[in-house]
Amino acid sequence: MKCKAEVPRRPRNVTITWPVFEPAVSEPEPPLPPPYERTALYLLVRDPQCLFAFWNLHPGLSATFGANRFKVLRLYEVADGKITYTQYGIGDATSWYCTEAEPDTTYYGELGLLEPDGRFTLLARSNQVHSPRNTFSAVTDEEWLTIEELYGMSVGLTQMMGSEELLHAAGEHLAQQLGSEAVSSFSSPIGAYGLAQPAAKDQDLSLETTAFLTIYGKTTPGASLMLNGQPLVTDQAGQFVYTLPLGEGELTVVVQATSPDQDLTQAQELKITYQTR
Amino acid sequence: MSQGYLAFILHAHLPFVRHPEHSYFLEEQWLYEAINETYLPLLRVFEGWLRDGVPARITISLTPPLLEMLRDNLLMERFSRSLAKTLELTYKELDRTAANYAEHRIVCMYRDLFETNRFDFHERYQRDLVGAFARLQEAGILEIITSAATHGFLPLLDADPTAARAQIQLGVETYRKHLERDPSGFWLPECGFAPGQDRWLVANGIKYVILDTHGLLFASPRPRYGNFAPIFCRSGLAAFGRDLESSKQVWSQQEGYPGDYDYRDFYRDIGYDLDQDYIYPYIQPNGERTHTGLKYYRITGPTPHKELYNPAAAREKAAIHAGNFVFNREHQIRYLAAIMDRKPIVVAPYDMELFGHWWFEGPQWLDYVVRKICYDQQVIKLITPSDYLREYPRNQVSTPTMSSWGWKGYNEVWLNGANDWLYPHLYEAAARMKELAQTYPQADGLLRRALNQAARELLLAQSSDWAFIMKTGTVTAYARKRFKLHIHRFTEIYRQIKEERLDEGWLADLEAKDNIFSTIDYRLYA
Repeated sequence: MKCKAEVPRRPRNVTITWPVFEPAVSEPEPPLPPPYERTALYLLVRDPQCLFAFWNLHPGLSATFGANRFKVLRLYEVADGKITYTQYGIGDATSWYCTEAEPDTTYYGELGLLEPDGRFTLLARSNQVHSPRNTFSAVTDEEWLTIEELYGMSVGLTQMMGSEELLHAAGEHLAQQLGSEAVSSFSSPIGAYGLAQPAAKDQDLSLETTAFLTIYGKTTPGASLMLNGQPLVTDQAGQFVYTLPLGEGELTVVVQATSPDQDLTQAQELKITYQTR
Repeated sequence: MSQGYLAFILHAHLPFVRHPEHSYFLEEQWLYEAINETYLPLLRVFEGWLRDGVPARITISLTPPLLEMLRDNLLMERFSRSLAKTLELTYKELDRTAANYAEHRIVCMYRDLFETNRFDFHERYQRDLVGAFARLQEAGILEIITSAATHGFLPLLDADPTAARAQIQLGVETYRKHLERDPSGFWLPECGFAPGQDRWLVANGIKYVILDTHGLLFASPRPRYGNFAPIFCRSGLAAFGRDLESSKQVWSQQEGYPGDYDYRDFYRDIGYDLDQDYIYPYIQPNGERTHTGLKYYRITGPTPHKELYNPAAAREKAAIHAGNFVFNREHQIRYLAAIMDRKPIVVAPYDMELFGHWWFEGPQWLDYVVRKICYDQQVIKLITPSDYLREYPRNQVSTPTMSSWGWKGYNEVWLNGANDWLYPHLYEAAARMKELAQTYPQADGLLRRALNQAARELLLAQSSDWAFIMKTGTVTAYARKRFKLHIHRFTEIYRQIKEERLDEGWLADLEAKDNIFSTIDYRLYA
C-alpha cells in the first residue's frame, strides 16, 4: 500500500492516437412501443398537493365509448374512515395531474365510464398512495417529547422564541428552503367538489342515500365553458358531463358558454331542490 | 471526550455509460473525468489519512452502475487511453507555455496531477479502483454503502412494488459481488424515500438510510431530536436526516465555498479557448469543442474577464474554508450538546463528483477539514451512521414522510411535463417483466439469457438520470435516446419470448452492449 509517486519524466516523441475514428453507424432513435393492451391505472405522488394518474386502456375498449358515455377519472380520498371522491372528465387524455390533493392523506383512483343515467362502469382501479406531509406532525410521543429548540437549529434558526412560535417559524423557514411554491392555480374542471360517503355501521339494518346531479350538455366545439365559475372541459365534439354531489336544499347551477373568439356568450341556469323525507 | 459527531457522506454515482460500438463517445467522458478529477484525487486524500494514522471515518456510497463500470475492462482500457491522451496534451502545453511562467506553472500542476493519476491507476491500484476503495474500508477509514441497482428514483417506482423491490435487492447483491461483504447502509437515490419501502431495505439486511431534512423533521410522531439523531421506522430501519446548515455551506451557489473567486474556474477550458488546429486531436472527433480538463483561470468574479489561477492562493483559501467549516460545526455541536441528552449527529451528505471535478480544491478542503477535526479541536468526532447506531442502539420509533433532496423537496424534478411520459412505459415494462418471470420460473439456455437481458434493459430504463436530465435540459437528446433504446430493446425481447422466436445473434449483441449486472437472475421479478 505504501507508494510514492515518482517525479514524472517527460516523455519525448510520444503520440497517442485514438483508434481511427469511423463515424460508426449510429443506432437510430427507436420509436416508442405501440399502445399497450394491458388496461391499467397508476397513481404517483408528485408532492403534498399533487398526484399524477396515468393509464392504458385496451384498444378494444374504445368501441364501448359511445357518444353519450364519458371517460372519467375518480380520485378517492380516504380520511377518518370516510371515502370521498373528486371526479375529472378526462376526454382523450392518457394522464392527469390532480392538483387539489391534501397532504398526509391516502388516495386511490378509478377510471371508468359514466353512463347517461349516472351509472359508473369501472375500467381500472389504481394502486393506493399516501401524500407526504408538508409540515411537522401533530402527533407527539410522550416517551420522546420534542425538544423544539432543535427544530429551530435543524432549519437554521437560532433566535430565541416560544416553543409554538419557534415550531411555526421553523416550518415556514423550511418550506422556504425547499423552494416550495404555491401549487399551480390551474384547477381541474370537476375538482372542487367531493362527496362524503358515510362509513358502514354495525347495525342490523341501515339505509343511507346519497344523490348526485349529473349534467350532460353540448356546445359548439372549441367554445369554452364555465360551470358556477369553474372551467369545464368539453370533448372534441363540444360535449361535456359534470357530476356534483347534492346537498339538502336548493341548488343553482349556471352553465355559461363563450365562443372561441370570445364574442358570444350564452348562459343557462338550472335550479334544483333536493329533499330527503 | 467529544460532545457530538459529524458524519460526512460522499455519494458517488454515474449512469451506466458504455458504448462499445463507438471508439469515442462523449458521455463516456463523464466517467473518465470523474476518475481523473474526483475518484483518484480523493483516494489519495483517503490514503494519506491511512498513511499518517489520522483517525478519520467517512461514509461513501458507490452506486451499482459505477461499481460495474469501474470493473469493466473495456471502460478501464478506454480510461487509460483517455488519460494518456490528456497527458499528451499536457506535455504539448508545457512546450507552448514555456515562455510564460504564470501559465507554465499551472500546466506543471496538471502534469503532476495527471502523472500521479497515471501511476496510481496503473501501478498502485492495477486498474482496480473498487479494490482501492474496498481496502480503505477494511482499514477502517471508509464505510461504503450501496444504492439502488440503476439509481432508480424509488418514490416513483412505488406504484408497482416489484420494480422498487428489485432495484433494492439487486443494489445489495451488486455490492456483495464487488465488495465481498454485506452493506450496512443504503444511499436512497436523490434521498428519495416512500414509507413502506423500508420493509424491503430491512429484508435485504440494510440498517440505515439518509433522508433530506424534512423527511425526518416531518416524521410522525414528531422526532424528539429534530434531525440530530436517527429515528427507527417500524420495520427497524434507521433514518438519519441531512443537516441543512453544513449542506448549504458547501452546496449553495451563492453562499457556498466552491464559488470563491480564488478557486479554479470550471468553465474556462483550453478545449474551448485554443486554436482549432492545435486542439483538434483532443476535442471530439467531429470537431466539436469539449472540456479537456486543462483549465488555467480562477473564478475571479462575476465577469467574463478571468485572471490566471494561482494554486498556492487557492490552497490557502481551501484551508481557510476548512477552518471556517470546522469552527461552525464546533459551534453548532456545542449548542446542540447543551440541549440534548445524548450526543448529536450532524449528517453532511454531498455528491462526490462535486469534489475535484466541479470544485477542483474540494479534495484539499476535505483533507484539511478531516485533519483539523482529528487534531485541532475536542468538540467534534467523525463518525459513520453505523458507528452511531452501535453507540445509540435505542432510538425513537417514527415514520418519516415521503421526501427527496430535489427541488421543492418531493418528486417533482422526476415527474413533470418534461418527463412524465416515461412512466407509462416504465410501469408497463415492469408489469411485463413480472409476467415473464412468473410464466417461466425455471428457464435455461437461450430463454434464460433473454429473460436476464430483459431485466437489464428494464433496469437501465429506470435510471433516475434520464428523467433528471430531461428536467434540467442539459443533454436531453442523449437521455431521451437512451430511455427509448432500453424500452425498445426490452419490448423487442418481450415480443420475441412471447412469439418463441428468439434471435440469438441480436441478443448476443445486446448482451455485449448493455453488459451491466453479468450475474443477474431474472427471478428477481417473480
